[in-house]
Amino acid sequence: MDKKLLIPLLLAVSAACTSELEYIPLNVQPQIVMNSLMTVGEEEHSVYLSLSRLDRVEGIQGDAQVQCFVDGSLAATAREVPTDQYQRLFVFKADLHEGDSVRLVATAGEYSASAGVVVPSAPVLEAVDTLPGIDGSLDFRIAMKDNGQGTDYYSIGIFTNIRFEFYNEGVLVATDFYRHRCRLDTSGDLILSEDNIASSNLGDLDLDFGTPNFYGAFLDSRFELGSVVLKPSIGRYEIDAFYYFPPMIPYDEVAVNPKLSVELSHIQPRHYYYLKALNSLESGTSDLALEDVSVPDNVEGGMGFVGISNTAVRNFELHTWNLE
Amino acid sequence: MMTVGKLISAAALLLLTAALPAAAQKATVSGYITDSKTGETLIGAGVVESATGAVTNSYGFYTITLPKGPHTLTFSYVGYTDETISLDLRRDTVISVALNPGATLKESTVVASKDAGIASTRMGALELPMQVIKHSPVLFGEHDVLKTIQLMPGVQSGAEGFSGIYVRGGGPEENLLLLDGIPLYNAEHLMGILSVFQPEAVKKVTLYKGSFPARYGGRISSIIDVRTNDGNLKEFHGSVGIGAITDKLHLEGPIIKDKLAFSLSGRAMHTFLYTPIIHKLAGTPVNYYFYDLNGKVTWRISDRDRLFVNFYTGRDLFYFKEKDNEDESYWEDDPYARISSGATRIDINWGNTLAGIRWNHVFSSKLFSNTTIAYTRYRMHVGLDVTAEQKYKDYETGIDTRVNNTFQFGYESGMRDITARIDFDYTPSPEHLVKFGGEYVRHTFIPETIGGYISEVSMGAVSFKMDTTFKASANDILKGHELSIYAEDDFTVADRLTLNPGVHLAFFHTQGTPYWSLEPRMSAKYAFTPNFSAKAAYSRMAQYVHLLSPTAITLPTDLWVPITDKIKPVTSDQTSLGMYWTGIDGWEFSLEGYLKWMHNILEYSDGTSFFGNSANWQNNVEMGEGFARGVELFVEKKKGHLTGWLGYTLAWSDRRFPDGSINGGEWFPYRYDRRHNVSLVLNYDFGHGLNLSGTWTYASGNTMTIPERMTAVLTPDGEINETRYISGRNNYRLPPSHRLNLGLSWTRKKRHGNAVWDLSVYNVYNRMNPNFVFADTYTKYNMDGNVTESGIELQKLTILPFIPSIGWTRNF
Repeated sequence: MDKKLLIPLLLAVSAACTSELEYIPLNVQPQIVMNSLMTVGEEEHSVYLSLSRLDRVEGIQGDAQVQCFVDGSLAATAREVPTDQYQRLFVFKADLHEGDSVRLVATAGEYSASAGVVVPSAPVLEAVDTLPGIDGSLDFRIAMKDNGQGTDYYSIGIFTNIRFEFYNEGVLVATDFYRHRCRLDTSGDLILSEDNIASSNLGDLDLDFGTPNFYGAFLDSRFELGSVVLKPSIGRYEIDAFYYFPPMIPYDEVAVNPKLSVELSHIQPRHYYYLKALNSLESGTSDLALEDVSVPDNVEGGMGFVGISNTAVRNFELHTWNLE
Repeated sequence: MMTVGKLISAAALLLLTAALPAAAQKATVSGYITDSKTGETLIGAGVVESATGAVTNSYGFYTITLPKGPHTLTFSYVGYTDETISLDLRRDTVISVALNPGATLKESTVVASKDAGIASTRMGALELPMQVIKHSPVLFGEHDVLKTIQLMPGVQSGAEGFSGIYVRGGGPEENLLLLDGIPLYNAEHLMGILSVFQPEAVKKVTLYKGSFPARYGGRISSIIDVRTNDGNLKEFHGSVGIGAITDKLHLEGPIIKDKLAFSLSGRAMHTFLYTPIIHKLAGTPVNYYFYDLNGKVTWRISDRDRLFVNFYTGRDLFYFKEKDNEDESYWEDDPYARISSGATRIDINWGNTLAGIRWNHVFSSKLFSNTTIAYTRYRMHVGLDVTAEQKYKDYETGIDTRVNNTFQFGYESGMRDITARIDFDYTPSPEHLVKFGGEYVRHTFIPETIGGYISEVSMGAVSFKMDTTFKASANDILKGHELSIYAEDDFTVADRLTLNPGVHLAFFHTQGTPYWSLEPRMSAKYAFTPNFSAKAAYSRMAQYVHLLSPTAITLPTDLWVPITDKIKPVTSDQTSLGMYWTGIDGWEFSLEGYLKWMHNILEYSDGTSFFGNSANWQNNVEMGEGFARGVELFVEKKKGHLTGWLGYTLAWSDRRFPDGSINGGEWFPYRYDRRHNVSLVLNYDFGHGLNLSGTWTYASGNTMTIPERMTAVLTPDGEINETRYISGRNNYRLPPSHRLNLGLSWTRKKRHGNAVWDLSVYNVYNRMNPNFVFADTYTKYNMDGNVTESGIELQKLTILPFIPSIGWTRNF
């Protein structure tokens, strides 16, 4: 059957041939890649360094240094933390505030790169409520307020934060902390889905292969000057720590302290498009994309992305939870 | 504040007032200019009396107002012998003239207010000679209107060798294609290799790309106005043609001599005619073909009234059928053997159907009208039909049992237009040719619907049945109402200065949202000498429909959709300036420059999937702005044995999405931004029916987005992922394309008519131009597993190399 289906196609392209097209890249030199997503109030900020080549990314060899400048003054020099990846991780402490001009400068041998960002203002997270959803899912009602000045960019994240205490014969043998970003179902929310509301009509086919909003990026163009209630949902498995693997130790009892946190971040425009690009990459549709995903890049003298968010957090206890 | 309506009324009143004082001492001559042998009306034919001139409109009607008294009128048309008539003009007079086709091609002697061409007030308006279209060497020997348009300056092709039209930095959906004034959608066959316009049926093609007449609207980049033959009112004629991939038949003749005529043209891919042979060769019913059928009936009711009924239908079809038979016996002579048989049929078909009735009425020698009622439909259908039958003896009961299963699936999309239009040509004085009118179009958009039918019949009784029609979610059938009125005046201000001011007022209503658009148009021409002139123009255009076309070629799945409450109409503002010289007999030189700003243009968002992009399509696109500018040189030789033209375009076309959604908000080149375009078209008439033609085209490469290297991204969860790095959209420019096509045409006279042999060679020197390009990264390792070489690899697919073809046509 397949061969016969190909007959008209073969006729059409019978004279076709494929050949290599000469391509000379503009820049064949390796480039330093610096990535960091900082959050105001975080105890330590992380910066990842690596080296980009035409066909791969690899670790940077030799000495490397990352420095943080706030409003032009050196605020911190990062220390390197060993990792099991080829990416080199640097962390630093810096007390960042709204309006601060933050610049990260990375140097590694012959390579040098820097990126500057401005700390956005704190978002206003007014209230969070939950409702039981279909099939054990949890529907959220997140009330927030926008400052109404120009276009503002945000992201919303819902996390399960679970503290485990493992006991053996009544003795505490280990503790563990599990933090998991819940995959958001934004199909019921106009703002988070950017009008991509799922059909409620039975009998309709959902032919929309649109990009899911994993990272909850949104902007205020639909609710400028006012409060809004966001309505994401998360599935049961997201709540139940389905993806958690307990430590391989003998224990006969486990105490859990499950919490959910809702984190609303105020971000810069480029950060918003960065998250949207990550959504596209993670959706798995990029291989069939009409237009390749171009991930925003703001590192001068190199590549990568440096962003900073100002985040408001609401924590609350989970009352219905079970470890499967 | 003065309303738009008041402004238009005031302008009309001003024009009438200006005309009145002179009217009493003048009289008007009007009528039709036709071909003496066929009775076919001649569009753009001229009538001139000393310094005053006029040309026929799209229906062959002219009107010229002159002072009362003796006059000598000269009627002329390219390729026809001039006709001179002397008269003593005392009152309004009707003179219809039949011109004799001349032996040699010559240029019109009239320099009058034509609607297109170098003599017109308008700029960026070109008339395509049908002789050139019919002699141009082309792919598979199939002469093609759109391919010839691609040879004009300011017009570029999309994918190499395909019919896509990109005019002055605009996209393919920004061109309004009109067949006898009726819009046509998806006007391409064979995924864009050929257009639906059949040269045998076409009388005249006009391309507007700069200053748009106010009577046109709805697209921002070009208007391609194709007019078809009315039919021979004198004698029966026809032609039969066999080409490399199609067969053609054209018939025309009088039903009632000089009163009622018909024209019928058909074209089909060979595979249409040889279906039984293909079935036999393939061993199963399978085929792909396309066909076109053009029909027209012209009725000259009286000197004042003419009626035209035209019809076009064209489709591309692919189908495939397979039969299965299976005997599931476990051993020989198994009495309980289950015998299954079934068939699967897949059919995909798409195409246009168009029908229209037009009525020309001459109210007076100064007022002419055309009324059109038309219907257009584009439809795409995918069908899957699976039937299965199982026969077996039931183990328990021993009863012979038969179960029939049917599964049918149908996918439909398309659109329908119903159009009502009225146009008036009013000549209040020799200095004014006023055109005004209005149009209503009712659009019905059918984005995607799916029908399913499942049934099971056991021993004649229905055991299960489901018959459902689904529609794609959030993708209802949409209606659009487009209403427009217009007025324009070709105004001879002084001997040297002519103006063409106009206004097009459009209203579009869809999904509860109304949109208004006031589109002023202005053209001006100043003749420094009879042979040297300058023109300037400004046009505002608006577009209310979009084509969702995910690839560079035409696919049947391409969907037309209306604007929405979120997606605003695309608008453009174009200014242009040009200089024109006809100082050498038989030659025309023109140099035009343009600046074009486009607003609310659309581009697909990063990462939009090829599949399902029609549902919620407005979330998959971004709205931005565009800026195109360029210079076009056009040198044409219109007389002598050697004719042709050289066109050169230097152009830029950029896009920007200020919200940062694409390319970080920075300007980037449009996908079909090509810096240089050259087209050289030559035709040499050796006499004795031998004609050699050649076209050479050169185009800078278009742009595309390719990965430049690998990079790492950090997710908000702290994960590092490797991905391909792209510095910006359309970051790579392909190498230039160029190609030479040659054609030899030999016409031999026969007892009745003639026979024409056409030899064509496409891409004579086999230039491997890229039709499609794919990019990927690669890494090479040695035996030790170490990387020896790495980088980005580009593969080009060339599907149109050196292709010779031969065709034969018998005209009778």
